[in-house]
Amino acid sequence: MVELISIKNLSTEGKLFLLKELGYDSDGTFVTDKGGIKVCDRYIDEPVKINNMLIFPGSTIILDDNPLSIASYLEEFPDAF
Amino acid sequence: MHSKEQSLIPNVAEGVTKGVLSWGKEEIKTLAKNFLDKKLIFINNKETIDLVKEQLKSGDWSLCKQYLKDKNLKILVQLGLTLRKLESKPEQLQDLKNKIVNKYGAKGVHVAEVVQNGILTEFVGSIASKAHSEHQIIESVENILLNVDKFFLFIKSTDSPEKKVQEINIKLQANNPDAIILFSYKSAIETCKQIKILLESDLKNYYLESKEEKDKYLVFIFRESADLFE
Repeated sequence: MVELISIKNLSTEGKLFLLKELGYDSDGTFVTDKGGIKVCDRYIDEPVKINNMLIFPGSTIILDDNPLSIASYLEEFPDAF
Repeated sequence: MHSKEQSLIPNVAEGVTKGVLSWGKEEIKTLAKNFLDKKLIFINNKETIDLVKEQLKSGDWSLCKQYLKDKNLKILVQLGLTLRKLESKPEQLQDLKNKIVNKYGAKGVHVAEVVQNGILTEFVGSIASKAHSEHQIIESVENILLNVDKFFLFIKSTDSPEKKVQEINIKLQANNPDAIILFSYKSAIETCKQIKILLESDLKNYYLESKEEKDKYLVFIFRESADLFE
């Protein structure tokens, strides 16, 4: 069973380390790929802020924490959690 | 650390029981590995996920989902239910409406508002008793949502009843729809009732049903049953 882990209170440094472990990076505000390109939420097409990110499995999908993105993700991956 | 977050952590993986504030690099490496093994999801506010999942367990969703096949309509209906839940939080409500407009346009937010105001649930309940098959209900529900601006009229207290009746008649003649729905809230209810009275003496091949509860008043204009779904 998939577990939900809250990173709300994880320090920015901790979030950055986590992103790097997952093959991503950050410019300090936004999530970026290793080349420094901002990662966009695939459902709302907006750059994801490091302090408001959700990270889902499925080729590592990083989303903005909002109901539209979550509802869209669950529609695409109904058995995600 | 917050107790809700604390309760999430002990089950993650053996040895990873520290609070998020004290996670070191080794713990994060373990979490990242478990994530890549698809055992974890990293979230920000648990409340946002709970809010979305709560709508999927609601009676409104159970009723409506069986008649929705279009993926985007399904999402918009869920978001409409979410809007309803956020009515006591104006900032979050507006933020979600803005995101819906950016993604789906004004029409998308109108669909969500139809759901937020309980109109879709009333419509599904009403049409289900008239249709001959599930397929007809699906067709009718999706058609009315995909053409939301043609078939739903939000009545304002400042509307002229006579002009609205003219507008409705034009819509009926131009589109020959299965139904048109009028929605009014609080101060607009009286105007909507006047419109209904005018329509009663004016409509041909259509009939009216109305529902009033709390602060809202709905009028359904249905095609005569002999014609409906033919």
